[in-house]
Amino acid sequence: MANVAYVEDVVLVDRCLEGEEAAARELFRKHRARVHACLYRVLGGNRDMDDLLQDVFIQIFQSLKSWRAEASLATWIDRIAVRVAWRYLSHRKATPPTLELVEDAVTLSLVGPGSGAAGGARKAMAREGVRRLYAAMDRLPPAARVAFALHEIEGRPMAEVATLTGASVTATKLRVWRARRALEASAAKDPVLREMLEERDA
Amino acid sequence: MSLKDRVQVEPLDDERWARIERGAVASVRPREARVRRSFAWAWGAGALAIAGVIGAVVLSGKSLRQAQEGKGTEPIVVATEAHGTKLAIDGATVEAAAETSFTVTRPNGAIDIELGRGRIELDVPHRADRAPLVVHAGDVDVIDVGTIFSVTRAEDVTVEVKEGEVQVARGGRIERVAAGQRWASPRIASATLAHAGSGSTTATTTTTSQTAIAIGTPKDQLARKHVATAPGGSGTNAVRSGSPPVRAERGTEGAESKDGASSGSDVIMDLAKAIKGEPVDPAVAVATPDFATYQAMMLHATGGTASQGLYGMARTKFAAGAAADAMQWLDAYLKRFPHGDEMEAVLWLRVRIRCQARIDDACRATAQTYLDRYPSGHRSHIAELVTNTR
Repeated sequence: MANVAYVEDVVLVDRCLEGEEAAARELFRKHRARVHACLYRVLGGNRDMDDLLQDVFIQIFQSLKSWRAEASLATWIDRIAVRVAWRYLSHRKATPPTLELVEDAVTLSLVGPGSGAAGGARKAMAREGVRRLYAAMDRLPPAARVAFALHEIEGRPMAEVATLTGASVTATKLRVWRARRALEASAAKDPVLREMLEERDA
Repeated sequence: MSLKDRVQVEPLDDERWARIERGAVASVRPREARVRRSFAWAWGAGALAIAGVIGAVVLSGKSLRQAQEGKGTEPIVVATEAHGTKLAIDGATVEAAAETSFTVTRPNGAIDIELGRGRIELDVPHRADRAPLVVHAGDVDVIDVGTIFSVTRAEDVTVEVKEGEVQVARGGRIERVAAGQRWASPRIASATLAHAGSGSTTATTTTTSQTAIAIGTPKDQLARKHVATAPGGSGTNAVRSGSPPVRAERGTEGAESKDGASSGSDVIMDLAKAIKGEPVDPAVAVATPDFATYQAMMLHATGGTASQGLYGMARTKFAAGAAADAMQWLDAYLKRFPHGDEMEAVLWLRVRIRCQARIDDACRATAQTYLDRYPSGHRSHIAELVTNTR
């Protein structure tokens, strides 16, 4: 039996292709949160996010006619989002990571649990870990970064990542492995990042 | 804890979303301009499949005109006894042998022949630019676009092709039968045979003339049906209206002839037969009549062609035995094309699907929807009876 969502997608796309503005808004609102999350997890923040999201959806609406209804609409949209993120990473000027003193974070992490201050410290520590993770990812080639982010951070299966990036599963696994190795090398010199990656492995 | 849980997405505020949405939605343009680009690309790439779709679009334009021409065409009921007869329909010749009954309808310009019993031989000029001629014999559909062939319905269905080629569809399978070939089905279920009016007092078989050809409205037929089933009624009409009777009158054999009332289960059974016997309108003819082609029509064409595409999607699913899938597409049609040209066909196919297993509330609801929209429609007499079964 055809998926109900699939039937709805076909009808929604048809309405969009008719130029129905309400349908375009519906499509935008239906997919915006997932697209935003995908871009955010690949890029690590909301910097330039407005332009990127707009770029993604403009591309979606302009190429909607090429959707063959073979893949799900969500997957097709995600492919466009990944392509936009990839291009953004490839063209943006390298921004040097603005790492703060590691010692401050370590001090925060040593505060024991049980107090409000400790909870706040943990949150700050987590935020710092994420910031350092993305700082390390900034040094990765876009292909490895996108594959790693989609698989390790977004939690998508390897085959899906391969579909979204247009690569083979083998190539995707290799990219993820290289990214992981590079991040582990960075973590060897950064206790906060190391702790974060170890927590993931645990 | 996974990295996904660690990387919390920082939400955007409503104002930012509104700005992004405005910018994105402003890029949406109607399809008219897009279609041209899409087809230009298709030609450039030389994509055969898309060429098929273009063919479909061209064909559908013509069939639309035909549908308009054929509007108001009423069912023709033919029943022969000792001698055969000949009938000309839209260039096609149907020669019926003796002891044959069939009904001809013209949904959207197509020719639908429901063969109740007997043998018909058809000479069909090439219909490449028109909707096909389809012969329904029980659960067998014979689809023709231009050939000479015959269909015989007795305890089994036999198709013999003299010239050209036909498609025979049964139970979701389609087979091609070429010139000189013969196709035969296994024995048909008695339920579908009953629709042919094999009872001794069925109007189509009990005329005193050798041939009964009748044209009329379903409402007339409904009224006549009630007359025919009244106690003491002869149940015979030399010329009668509409399609075959909804209930197979039982004459002196049934309880109805004795006390004027039949049991509820009989009515339900007969209704189910009547629903199944009522032809389902074919989808618009295209070069490759499969789901993908109709889907491409829907997504890459506008207006009437898009709605034809969506009906075609549902129709192909139904023909393939995927009734639940077909239902989803039909429901999508109702939302997408509330004033579509295929609406009557859509609403009837919903009745056919919902009522094929049993006459229940879901079935009655679809019949009511049909009736609300087409109170004088082609099948309103059946829909009305379905809604009255509660």
